[in-house]
Amino acid sequence: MSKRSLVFSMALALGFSVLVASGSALAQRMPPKDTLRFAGFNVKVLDPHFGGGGSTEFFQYKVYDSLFAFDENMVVQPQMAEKFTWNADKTKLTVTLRPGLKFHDGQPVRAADVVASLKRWSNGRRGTARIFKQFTKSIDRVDDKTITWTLKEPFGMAMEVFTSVRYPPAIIPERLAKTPRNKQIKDFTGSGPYVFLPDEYVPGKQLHFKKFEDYVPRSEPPSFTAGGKKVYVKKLEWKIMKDDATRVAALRTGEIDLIQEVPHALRNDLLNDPNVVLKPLRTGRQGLIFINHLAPPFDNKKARQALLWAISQEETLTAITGDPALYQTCPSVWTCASPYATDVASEAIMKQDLEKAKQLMKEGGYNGQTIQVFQAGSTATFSNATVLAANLRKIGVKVEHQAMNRGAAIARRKNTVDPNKDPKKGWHIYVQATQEVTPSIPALMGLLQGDGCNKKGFYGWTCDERIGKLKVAFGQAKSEDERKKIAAELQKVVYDTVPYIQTGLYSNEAAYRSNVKGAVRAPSPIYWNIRKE
Amino acid sequence: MFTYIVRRCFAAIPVMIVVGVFVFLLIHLTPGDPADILADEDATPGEIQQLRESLGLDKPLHTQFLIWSGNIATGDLGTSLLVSKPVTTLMAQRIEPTIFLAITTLTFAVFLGVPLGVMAAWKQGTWWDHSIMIFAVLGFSVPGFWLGFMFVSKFAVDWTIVPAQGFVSIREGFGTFLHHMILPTITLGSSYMALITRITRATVVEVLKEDYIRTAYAKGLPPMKVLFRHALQNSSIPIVTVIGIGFALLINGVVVIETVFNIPGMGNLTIEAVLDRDYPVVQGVILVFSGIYVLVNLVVDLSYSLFDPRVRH
Repeated sequence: MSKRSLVFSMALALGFSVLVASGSALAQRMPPKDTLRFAGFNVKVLDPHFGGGGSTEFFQYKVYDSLFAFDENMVVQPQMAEKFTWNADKTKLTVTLRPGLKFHDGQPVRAADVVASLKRWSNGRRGTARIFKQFTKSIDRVDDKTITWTLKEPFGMAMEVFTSVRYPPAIIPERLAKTPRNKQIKDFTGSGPYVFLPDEYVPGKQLHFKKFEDYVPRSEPPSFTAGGKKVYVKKLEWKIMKDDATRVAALRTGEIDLIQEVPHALRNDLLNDPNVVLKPLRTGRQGLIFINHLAPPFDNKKARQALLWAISQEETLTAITGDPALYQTCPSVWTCASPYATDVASEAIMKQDLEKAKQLMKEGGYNGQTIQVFQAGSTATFSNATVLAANLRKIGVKVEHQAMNRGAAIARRKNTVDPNKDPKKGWHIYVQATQEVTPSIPALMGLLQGDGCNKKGFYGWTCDERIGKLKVAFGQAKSEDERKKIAAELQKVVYDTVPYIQTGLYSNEAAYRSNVKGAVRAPSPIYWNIRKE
Repeated sequence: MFTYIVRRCFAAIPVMIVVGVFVFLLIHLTPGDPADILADEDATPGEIQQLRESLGLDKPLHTQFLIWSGNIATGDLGTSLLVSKPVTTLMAQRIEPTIFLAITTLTFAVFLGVPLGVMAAWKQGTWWDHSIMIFAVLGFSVPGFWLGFMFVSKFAVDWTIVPAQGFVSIREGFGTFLHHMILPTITLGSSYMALITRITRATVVEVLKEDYIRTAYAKGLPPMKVLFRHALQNSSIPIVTVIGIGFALLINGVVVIETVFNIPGMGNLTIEAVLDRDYPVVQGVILVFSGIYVLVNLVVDLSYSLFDPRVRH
């Protein structure tokens, strides 16, 4: 064999080996049938009581269980609790745990674990935890299966506070619950349907879970975060993929089974793929426009009301989603999915009138200054801010719209300096979004505050004591009818004083391979009841 | 030679100190801090302040710097403020994909760029030369992220011959590893290869005009031997320098390509840490990148003596 033909043969052999290896690699990259692999958002903080923004709840729902949960009608249902009873004057709740509950380390869930967990959770930074603590006189262990929660005074929304739509108090072992609130726990032993696998955890890359074989699901069918959490896969692989297009490509090639949320801009890539199903698995979002009440012209109520008339929910939602099937205009401050939704005083938000907006802006003292609008986050928030800026320009308002990352936006929104004097630091309008379920219960809505007098309190610095009083009255109302009346009254106040403006509801669909069945819609991505065929 | 290496290593220390001070100030002076990000959207200012104190962010900047630099001196890069893991652990988990991406890219770019450059120089003025130069200009001009998405669309989604994303360690099989690295390597390596091609062509064209090349032809050496033994070896110092400088380009490119192909490497870690204002991670990663860059330059300097005996003397 000549030297040249030897080299040629070796090259052929190498090429063949690479092809064989590639074939085997193609097979390897598909998740096995008993493994659900999904592309999700990054999660940084795993401690369920610590904080850390949106993604911690995604982790929490897999690893931890809670005493109660919301069903799809926003009614509180027992979860770890077997039964619960209130005393006659509604100041003491007695909760008995279900039999057979275990932590992932094999230890039984005891009342002492629940008490310690609730105490740690209530010391956290979340709005509902704050309200829980405010009303709590004591939390006590009665016996190994029973706890009592004693309130300082009756509170109509007590069960809702105890459950918290997005961040239910996760039950962790007592030994971990003793960790101070400003220190994160490092052992993620829970009692939820999945066991976290710390050895396979690579921050920013992946979180893996296995089925908790000793988990005893409830017998009821799953509904939102309530009901039976039955697990049909052996392993759950959460792959963190930051780029939207990469997630979509990986789903189409079958490298992953599911994408938590498909961005609207890439939806068309998946619509015609017969191997992919598009369906909203998470409750929607609501766009919010926060207004700085400290600086002219929005220190004047008329200028804030001008924004209500300038906004078009229809235009905004079309810009965000591009498809009427994915949005809903909504007159209510409490979102249209809330039992307290009402159209009281909503004429301005539902009927755009640019002439009226122009007139109110003039009466509100607008003198030609540039309005600083900023936003962070998704393309949806960007679209929301862009449509707002365009409508403001139509009524003769000068606007500077800045998009920035979340860290910079959070730093800027707490700045109280006058944006007319220091436009680089101060702000007039901040656009963000929240989960659809967040504002559904007026008394628990952390984003709605009227405590901003003297540059203190929540950003936006709304100074209107009616808000706080009506929220308290709502919590203390004796009946549902009374609550609805107060919710309507509070909505009138919101549309009068305008702490912020809601710009309608929109949703992102999840996308999954057609062999994935049984996915449940919930306020957070949950992966029980799901299976692969 | 040993003395030279030791001297160069010591010379790197002030560079690293300057980088450390610069990075520390830059990230701390950027608006936003980790306490804001860690706290919930409805956390009160008082609660955020408490969190800031627990993270040690309430201390004066110079105190924080002294604590950080003292830890660095003992080899402790600190602990991530968000993930609560040591920075060294986070980097150890992420360095493998980046190192392998750098190696495959470097190999691809050098083994393709140098021969193409030599070929273009040898066939100067012909259609070979023009074609290679057009190829090089394209490679240099087309943005990496666009090229990456186009490759994924065609090779992964439409033809399903390579994966769309991810990284598989070489320990799990060379074939699988290679399979995942093909697209990121070509995407990241295209501009780097174009740079090497152009520099190689320019230097070889100059060397081919030298008398000793004419002598080599005159004594009957075959063209390939003249090109690679005489012309290329005498052009190697500028080429090796460009390969070294190109390493900086590679570090920049890694950040984008790791995102496009979902490779969990150091580039991705840097982006996450910057957006989250995770000070210890940003400082640690940039310090390590700077150290690698200084090291690469040292290796490039030392390699001169291999190619040019005059340097040794």
